[in-house]
Amino acid sequence: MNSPHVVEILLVEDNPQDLELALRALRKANLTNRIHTVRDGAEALDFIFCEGEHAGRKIEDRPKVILLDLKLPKVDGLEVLKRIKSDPRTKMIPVVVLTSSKEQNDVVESYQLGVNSYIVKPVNFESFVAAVQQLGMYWLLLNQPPKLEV
Amino acid sequence: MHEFFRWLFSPEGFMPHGHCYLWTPGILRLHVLSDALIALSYYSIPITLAWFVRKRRDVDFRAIFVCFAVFILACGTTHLLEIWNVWHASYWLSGGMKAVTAAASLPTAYLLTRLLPRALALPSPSALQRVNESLHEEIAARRVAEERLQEANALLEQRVAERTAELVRQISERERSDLTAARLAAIVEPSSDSIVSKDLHSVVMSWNAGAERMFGYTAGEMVGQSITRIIPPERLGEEEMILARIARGESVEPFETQRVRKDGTLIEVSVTVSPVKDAAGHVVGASKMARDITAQKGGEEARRASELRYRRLFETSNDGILILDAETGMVVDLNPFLISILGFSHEQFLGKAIWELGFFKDIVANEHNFAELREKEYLRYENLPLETFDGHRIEVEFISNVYLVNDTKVIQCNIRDLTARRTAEQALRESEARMRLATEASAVGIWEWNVISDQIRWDEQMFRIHGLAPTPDGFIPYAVWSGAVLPEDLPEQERILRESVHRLGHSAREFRIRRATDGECRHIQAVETVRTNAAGEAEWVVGTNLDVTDRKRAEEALRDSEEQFRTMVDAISQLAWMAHPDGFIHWYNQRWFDYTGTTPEQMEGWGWQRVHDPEMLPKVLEGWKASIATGEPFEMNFPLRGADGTYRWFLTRAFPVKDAAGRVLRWCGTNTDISRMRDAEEEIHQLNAELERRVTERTAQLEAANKELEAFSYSVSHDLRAPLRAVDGFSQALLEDYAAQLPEEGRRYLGTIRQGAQKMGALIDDLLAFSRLSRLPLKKRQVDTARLVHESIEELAPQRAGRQIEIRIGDLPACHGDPALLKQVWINLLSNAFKYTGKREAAVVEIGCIGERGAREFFVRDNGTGFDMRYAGKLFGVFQRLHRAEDYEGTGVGLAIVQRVIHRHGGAIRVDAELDRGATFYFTLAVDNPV
Repeated sequence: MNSPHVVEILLVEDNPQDLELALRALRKANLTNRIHTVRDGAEALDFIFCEGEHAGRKIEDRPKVILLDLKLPKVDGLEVLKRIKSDPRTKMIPVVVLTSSKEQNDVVESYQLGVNSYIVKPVNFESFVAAVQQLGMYWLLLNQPPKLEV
Repeated sequence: MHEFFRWLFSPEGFMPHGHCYLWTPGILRLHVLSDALIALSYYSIPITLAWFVRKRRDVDFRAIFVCFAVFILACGTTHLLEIWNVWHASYWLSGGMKAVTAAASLPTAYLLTRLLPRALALPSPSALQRVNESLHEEIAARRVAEERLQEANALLEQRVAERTAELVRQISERERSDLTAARLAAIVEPSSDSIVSKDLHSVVMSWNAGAERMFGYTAGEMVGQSITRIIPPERLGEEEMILARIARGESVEPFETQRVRKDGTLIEVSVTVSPVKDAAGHVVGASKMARDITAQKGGEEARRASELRYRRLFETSNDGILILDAETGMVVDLNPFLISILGFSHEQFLGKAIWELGFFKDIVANEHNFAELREKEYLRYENLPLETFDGHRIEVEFISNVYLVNDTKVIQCNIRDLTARRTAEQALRESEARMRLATEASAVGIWEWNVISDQIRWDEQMFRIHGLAPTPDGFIPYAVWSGAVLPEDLPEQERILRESVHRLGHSAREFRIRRATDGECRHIQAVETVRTNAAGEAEWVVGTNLDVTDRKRAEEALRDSEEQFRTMVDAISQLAWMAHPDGFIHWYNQRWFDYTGTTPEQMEGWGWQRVHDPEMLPKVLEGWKASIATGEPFEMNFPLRGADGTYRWFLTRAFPVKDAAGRVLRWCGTNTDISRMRDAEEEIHQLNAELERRVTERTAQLEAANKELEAFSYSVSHDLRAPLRAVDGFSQALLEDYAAQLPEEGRRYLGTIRQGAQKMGALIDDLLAFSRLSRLPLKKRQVDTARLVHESIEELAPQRAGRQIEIRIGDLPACHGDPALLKQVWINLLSNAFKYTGKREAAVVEIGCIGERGAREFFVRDNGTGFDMRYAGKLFGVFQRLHRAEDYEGTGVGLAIVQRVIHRHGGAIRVDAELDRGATFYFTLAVDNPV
């Protein structure tokens, strides 16, 4: 909203089918404008902390929400969550875990690391679409993030 | 008279003399003062004169002094009246007074005139002094002359006396020596006494006929010889001592001694020794008079011995004895015992009359009573109380007699302290009582057997021993006794008795009697002694009997017990032993010797060390000594060498046997063979170790498996569902995007694909949940069952949507368990109930609890489709279903989960159902559960 090229949603998803379904769901809800997709944990960190490929990006241009899968190649989702939430520059970014895992361990650990929401991906596609649309609407349109000068 | 004085002092109209002086103070003062002083002086003079005259009675002219004194006194008074007249005009009075003065002055003047020549004749004091001095000189001269005369006289008298004395002596000495010699000869020669003289070296100088008769030596034999010939050697010292005392001029008291006659016989003599002096009075020898008292000596000694005996009797008597003079009542003597009874000292008695002695006040406290005593000559009081010096009252017996000693009447009072006798009597009575008691208590019977009359006399105890009624006098015929003795014992008893009678000695024996009361055989122990009569013949046999049956039985019991103990300790499988408190082992059971192959001699005391393993021995000794020191039980395992030389292990225990005071009396020990036990223990130990190892191994395997299962579940959770999501998702996408291009049949297939994918997703979810149940630990706590049920019903609201279901909830007590899992149970059961009543018009689901506390069952009942109980066994299996999916959807995991949860809580689940009539699921939780 501040500037047209600022990413509003960072989607971290390795599974191409899940990725496509997620994007389809977001698109159906007209939330596709400023989505950036990364396919593993390492790339997600580069993007968030403006390193490597994304060194030219400004860290102040924080996404409005990060949708994070837990089971990721290279650096797993919990590690990514931990890095985000332990850095003062990024810890205010809302992170929503979007995963197939119903394991209680994962849920508990995610909340301990400071996750903002934990969503289990349903097998049923309608449910999945509904979930993604709802959370997109919430975090992008309803939620009022604090204005931080880093 | 009164009138006269009034007149005398009245002024009669005259003026006081002061008017003549015109009341001029100066002149008045002068007159008055002068008159006063003159009067004072005049008054002092006659006083002085009166004093002088009183002191010097020798002074002549007393009259003139008296007259002069009156005159001066009168003069003084006139001057006083002069003063009076200054203020009071008593001129008659003053005139009168002057007249008196005049009257006194006339005879004074007359007398003075008369005396004047005589006064002039008196010598002056200096003349008198001179006369005195000359007189003194004369007296002194006369005194000297007189003294000289006296001296001369004394000298003369002395000389006369000396001369006279000399003359008298000369005469008397001559006379005396003549007389003495004659007289001496007359006395000495015929005297029956021995009279000898000797010099200071014991050489005999004279020896009279008496000496010749007495000692058997003639004068010729003895004169010039030493007197020591007649002195026994042991008395030579006495002779020397006496001579030495004589030589020193000391006197020697007569004494008694012994002398030796010529024939060697000893004679008793009484000797008087006196010094022999020369003319100058020096001691030159001794004369000795000896009298033979041998004969007399015997009588005297007897008398003295008798005296001594009585004296001793008096001194040591246990009666107080008081000797009084019968005439005066004075205490003459008293014995020590009286002093000790009454506590008064000897001095408090002696020289006092009996009535002066306070403690006798009750009897002879006055002379009158004493006179009565003297009259009666005998007096006796029993139980007379007397008070002692220290205030005690004692009871005495008082007896007094009057008797003559020589010609003197004396009173002897015997005072016997009854206190001691009373005490003694009491003690005797008590002693007898004790003796009787002891005899009775000890069950000793006393008997006497008159050998001559063959009669036996028994005391009560004897009758008791025999179980017979006592005879009045205690006498029984001999046959009673001999009949009671067992026939086999009798001959021996009679033999012993006969022998004792023959020996006049003692004997002790044992025999058995048949007791009269119950015929019981009793053991008797007897002791007797034989008493002789005056003729020295055996007359009485006196003895005792004691029933020792009980003791014998006790001894036998003890022997039996001991025997049993021995038998037992030899029979037991353990080795056993006993030790003294100091650890010295004095007894082993037979088994010890059998096992070790040793002998009692080898083992006694500390000999057991030889069958020990030398390596273990120090520890064994240490432990055993520690127990001996502390008195604590000893327990230890160690090997002992058997007879075959091999060692076997023994558990050794030793217990101290203690007395009431806690002192160790002895130690009892056992050694139990534990070799097989040790082997078995070793085996068990090894088995345990093996088991432990296996368990550890298995646990590790299980843990690994569990991990794998977890990883597997995780993979299933993630990876298995992703493709399903893709299947479902893209089928949906296809339907949305390309529905127009698909025929009706194609769309239906896509629907089926999606159903399949979704079903598989549900299966995977249920399967994961089921598998998670096994892995997660239970978190038990108190659970509010009713609330849990209500929540579950609430959660299942979507399932009930659009349906009319009557839900009846009964009483649901709280329970103990994992709330999350228990909720799953309720949800599954209720969900089933709702599901299977789906085709009922009036669905009823009932929830409740039945049974008593400790055996309660929760239940969920529905009136749904039910099932055939034949298939009940399959009901709880995973993926097992009794209905077709078309009729009732489901994965077949729900009841499996329910059963798993109930089982994990230690409970049980059962079902009661009928086809088309509904089903009821009952479940319990663990026994420890309050439900």
